[in-house]
Amino acid sequence: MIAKELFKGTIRTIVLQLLAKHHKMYGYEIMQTIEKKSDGKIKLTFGSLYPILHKLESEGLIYSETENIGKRVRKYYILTQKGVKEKDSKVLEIKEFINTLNQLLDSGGLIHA
Amino acid sequence: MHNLNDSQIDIISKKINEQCLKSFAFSDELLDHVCCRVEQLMENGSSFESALKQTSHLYQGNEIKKIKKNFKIIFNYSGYINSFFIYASLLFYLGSWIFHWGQTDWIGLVAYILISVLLFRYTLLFYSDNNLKFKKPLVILSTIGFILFFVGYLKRFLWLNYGFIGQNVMPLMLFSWLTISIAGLIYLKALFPEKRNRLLYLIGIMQVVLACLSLSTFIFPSTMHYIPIYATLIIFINILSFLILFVIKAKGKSFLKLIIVSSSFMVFLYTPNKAITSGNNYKVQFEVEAKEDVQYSKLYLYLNYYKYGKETLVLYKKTDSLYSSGVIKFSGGNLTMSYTVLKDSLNLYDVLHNSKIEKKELKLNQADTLFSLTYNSNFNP
Repeated sequence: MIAKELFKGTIRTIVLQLLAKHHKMYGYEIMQTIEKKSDGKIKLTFGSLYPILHKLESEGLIYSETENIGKRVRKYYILTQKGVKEKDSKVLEIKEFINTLNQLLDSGGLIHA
Repeated sequence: MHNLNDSQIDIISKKINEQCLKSFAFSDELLDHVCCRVEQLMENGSSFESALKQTSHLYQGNEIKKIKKNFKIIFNYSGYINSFFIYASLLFYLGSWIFHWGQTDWIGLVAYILISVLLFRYTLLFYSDNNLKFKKPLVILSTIGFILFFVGYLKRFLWLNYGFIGQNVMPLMLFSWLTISIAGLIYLKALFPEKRNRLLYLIGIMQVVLACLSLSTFIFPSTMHYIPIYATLIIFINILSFLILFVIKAKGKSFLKLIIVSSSFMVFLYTPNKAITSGNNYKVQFEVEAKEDVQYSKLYLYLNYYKYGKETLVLYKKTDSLYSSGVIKFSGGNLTMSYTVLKDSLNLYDVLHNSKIEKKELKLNQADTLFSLTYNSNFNP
């Protein structure tokens, strides 16, 4: 398991990236996909994911569609054009950050300091 | 994939509703989420009852509280509420000045109420935050600041129908400013225990210094004729600080904004009535002689110093026909004022701007004056 503090700032980008690849997803599906793709190392909770989804929606980065499944309502989230742009820039930013971390950690910069 | 039937969904829905989630923003999604989890567990061989039991932690009270708290943090609701109170109070105060030019009225009272509500809100926030460093001093100082501010503005606004009373109002307000600005510095220390945010600290320290400077005019009366300079300096620094806080992103800036706005209100409240002109301290007393035999125990003297402010004085009965005010201290001289004497306690602004009420003028141009005025009952509106 990866400590929450380490991936906290990246959840928004991870969600945007997933929605870019899967067109539309609902909350539980997003959680399961993240857990599966990270081999169980990143586990989100209901309380950490849904407020982020609502925040992204309020910022116009995603929008939602509802579907009735029997007696329950399922809310699907879909990326907007603004969301695609945000995703692209944030993914780049994170990749740069990972590269910097790799440089610092692998080249001995931090370990031998 | 196992799909839950309607009666199973009803059972889950009932369980969630038992946790009083009717007003919960995510109730539909929580129901779907729990249903999905139950379906997945049933797919792996659990019975419905067992799956239901295993998912119950998702909708327990504590979990919901955590979600709501997380929601508030992500959406920064607290920040929006604080900003709403600050900007609404500024608007009301501005309205008060536009409509009644520096005179107390209900619009100004609303501005003060909004600020005091926000002060009280901070006291509650400090009290309820168990992780807050220096919680005790913050709660004590913000409570004192709130009480002094609250009592101060009530005395100011509710006295004689929005009249003005100089006694004790400003010391109360200024002590309130000092306590909340010290609380502001402690709050910054609590928010940034290791890394100092120099700009925020500078703004916080300036507020403490300015509050001390303002209080010094009470402790050292000789400094009273510097009040116009102090007021200009305070307003300049406050506008600059507010603009900086408006631009930067930082924790704790709302509390600093609150201190700045409340101190600006105090300065506007204080200055017109005290900074009359530079010069010596004058002691003035007003006596009113009633032309006819009147039975009232007191009369009201409504004074308009024009651009320097307005105030109502109570005149107490001394003899059958003579009423007298207490000794009033002025800093300055050569002051022209208009006045009227009435038997009723009325809204000062309405009295002074009512053309039907006769007003006379008098000039304060020498120290230690006893003004002898007359009361005519025909003047009463």
